[in-house]
Amino acid sequence: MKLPANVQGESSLYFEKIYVAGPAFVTFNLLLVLFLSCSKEKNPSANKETQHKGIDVQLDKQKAKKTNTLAQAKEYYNRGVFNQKQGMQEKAIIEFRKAIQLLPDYAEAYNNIGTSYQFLGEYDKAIQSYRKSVEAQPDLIEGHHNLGTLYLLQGEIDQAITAYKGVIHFKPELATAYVDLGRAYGMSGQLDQAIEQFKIALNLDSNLLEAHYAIGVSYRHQGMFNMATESLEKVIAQKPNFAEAYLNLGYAYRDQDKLTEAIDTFYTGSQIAPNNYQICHELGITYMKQHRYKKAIVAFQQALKIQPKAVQTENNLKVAQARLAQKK
Amino acid sequence: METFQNSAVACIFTKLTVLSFLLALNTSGIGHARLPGTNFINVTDEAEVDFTHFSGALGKRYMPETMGSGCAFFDFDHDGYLDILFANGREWRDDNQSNYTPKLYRNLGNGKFVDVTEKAGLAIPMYGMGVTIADFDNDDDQDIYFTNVGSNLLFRNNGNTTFTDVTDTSNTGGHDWSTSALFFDYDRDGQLDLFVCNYVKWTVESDLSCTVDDQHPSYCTPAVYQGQSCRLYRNLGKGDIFQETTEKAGVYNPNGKSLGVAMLDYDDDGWIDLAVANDTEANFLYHNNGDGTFTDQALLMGVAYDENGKPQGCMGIDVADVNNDNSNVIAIGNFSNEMNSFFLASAGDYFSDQTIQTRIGNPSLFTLTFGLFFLDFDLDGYQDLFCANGHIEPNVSRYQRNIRYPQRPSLFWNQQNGKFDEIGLKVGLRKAGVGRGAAYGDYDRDGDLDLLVSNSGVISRNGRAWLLRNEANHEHSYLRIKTKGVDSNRDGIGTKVIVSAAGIQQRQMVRTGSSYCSQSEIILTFGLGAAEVVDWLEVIWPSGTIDKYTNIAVNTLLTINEGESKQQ
Repeated sequence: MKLPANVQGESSLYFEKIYVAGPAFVTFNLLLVLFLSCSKEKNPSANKETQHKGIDVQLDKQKAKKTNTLAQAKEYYNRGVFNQKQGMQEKAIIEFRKAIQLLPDYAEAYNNIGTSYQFLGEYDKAIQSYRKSVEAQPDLIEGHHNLGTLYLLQGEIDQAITAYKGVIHFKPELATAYVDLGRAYGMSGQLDQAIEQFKIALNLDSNLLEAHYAIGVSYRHQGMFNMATESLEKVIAQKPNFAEAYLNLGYAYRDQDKLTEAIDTFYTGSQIAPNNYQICHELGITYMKQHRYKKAIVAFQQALKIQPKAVQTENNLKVAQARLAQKK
Repeated sequence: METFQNSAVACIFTKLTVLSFLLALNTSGIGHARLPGTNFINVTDEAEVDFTHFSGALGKRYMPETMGSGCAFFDFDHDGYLDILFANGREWRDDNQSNYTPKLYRNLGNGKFVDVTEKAGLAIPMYGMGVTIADFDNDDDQDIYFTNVGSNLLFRNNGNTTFTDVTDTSNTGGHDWSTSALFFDYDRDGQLDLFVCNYVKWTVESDLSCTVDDQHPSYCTPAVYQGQSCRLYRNLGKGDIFQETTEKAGVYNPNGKSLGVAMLDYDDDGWIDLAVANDTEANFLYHNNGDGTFTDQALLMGVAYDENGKPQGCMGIDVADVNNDNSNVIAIGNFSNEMNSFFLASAGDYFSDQTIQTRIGNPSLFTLTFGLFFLDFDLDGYQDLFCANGHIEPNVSRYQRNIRYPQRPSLFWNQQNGKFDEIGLKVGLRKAGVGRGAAYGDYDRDGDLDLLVSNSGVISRNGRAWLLRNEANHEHSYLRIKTKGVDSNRDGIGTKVIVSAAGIQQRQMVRTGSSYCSQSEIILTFGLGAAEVVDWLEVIWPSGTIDKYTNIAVNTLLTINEGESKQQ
């Protein structure tokens, strides 16, 4: 399955995270599994008054075998994680599969297979694996999250929303989960619901940068420009080198006809991120609105240095040149 | 738990265009914006309008199948009641034998219509796209021009409820894939000329196969075909004879893939200009130079592309003074994942993309809009915006889950402060359809504007047209104006009317064209809110004659004859 061109290669707040269950997480879960399995084995035998020696030996052997199996599965798993980090996804998948052969309900291994497939661009297989991970362990929030993110990448927003709700169901105190859900609503055009989710996230964590950013962008698309400005200014105060926040704050100022502030903001953004094509392009558009065509031409030319084949900037450059010529 | 996180964080949502110049808006006068107490009732069945669009689709996915078709409100029999006309497709074969023809419905004046296609002489099979209607021969009745895939057809109204095909003598047939068209008097000689949009070079023989994912067939986008130039025909004023002046007039441009055209006078020089919506190519803004020629000023004026410099998938188009401040707004219906366009120009300024500021942007992002027009549906004195929506690909939701094939229409209510609120669901526009053409008119003569929507019949169950009656329960007054030219063309096409009531001045032009492949009634409707009298009105005719009136009663249809105010 191929992603839409506008998604491929574009880093976005919507698509930033893949949760990979690493060794520490595995250890915790393996201990949990061991504890549960031992408890299950222990309880029936503890009730028996008479225990023959031969049976004890057999149980010890079974226990030892199980411990060895778990240890071996863990070993494969860790090798998979190592390979994954090294970018060797095919090898990682082989190791995770070996772990699953030993422990068929090894949810984290399924989750990581999904991640490796996602890295390989095999999204259908990735989705299948993430689904298996949450089937094996319904409260594996990483699986729900990764499933949601991949559905979102594929434009299957309703399913993404369901998956993100799964995260919230099992971990309602996780602020970032509401941000994810809000983004999914935002992508489907349901901005009211999106904003509602971002607000919940901010109630849980008032300093959550991505929630401030997302709510700011959403307010802007709702036409609530003052609120957008306020939120995005908070983001910049918290993270002054965040170029995309300048871009969106610039938009919000421009939407309010605060062209001087918009130009200042885009300009600052362009200083922070000199290779950010979009900021230069928007700076040019804003100069156009002030009828400052010479400045606009310079900004568009700068954008074209960064992205020489940007047809839309070429078009705007032509408009600026035509208007400058008419002015003369 | 470990996380792999991208460090760069980009803007969320689709990269959307943004805007400038907020207007100094006049919010006084007729009244403060209050959510209208209007409901649109689907009366198609009870009105006995049984038209279902036929596309000829048999699975080959010929591109024109999904593009049609248009509709019209007009009074063909001169009885004062608006009749209805639908363009229609037919089978893909070369003969004159088909049960599928355009349909003409006569308004019986009692809320019901009757099919008079056959009697009127319009039961002619054609692969129809659109219609435009005006009295091109100045004989006091409404003539019809059908745009088609292949030759277009001009029908002269015989004045006795029948029509005669005058295509051959008029030289207006062409052989292109035509879409929207309009009658206007570009040289101000009192004769209505004809401008015809053409789309792409396509025939059954040259049809290309397209897929969405290299596997599943889909309707093609225009990108795979060459464009075709629009055509301009000058009315020689000698019977039915026109002369093609496309190149001579400077409107030959094969780069356009034109789907919509609207008339306006953006520089207020008295010569009618044209705004042309192109699909995935730069739009045209043909400035009338007043000497029989036009110059495309779209790039300079800022309407060729969206604010980002990107051509949009443009379909329907319309123009209005939405803020009652003598500014021009050009609205364009665009493809899904593109917001509709809303270009605003204050007098003497360039156009500026105001789509986000007006709040039209986000609600139109996922819709695919064909028919689109301004109308004051709640008669509050401010023009609202109606959009007929529906995708071109029946299977679209398989590939883009958030996009649907049938889509409900949108109605953007003008809040009188430069912003619009999409209130379709609140006024009864709940049903999803595959909207194409759309028109407005007061078919029940109650003073408010009703809606007509033609839906695509690629899937026949979707192809039933809708007649939507405006059931207003507000007490807003109105003035309807019908113009009759004497030195100017008989319909008064191109006449500007300024109405002043309760401190607000509204401007409208008598026009054909606009929307998508469709024609709304040419009578002008001015909503007056709570005003009890129109203080004055001014009528500026294409000939240059100006008529002025004062203290006009409201809630009436006023027929104005050119020059009569001077004689009184």
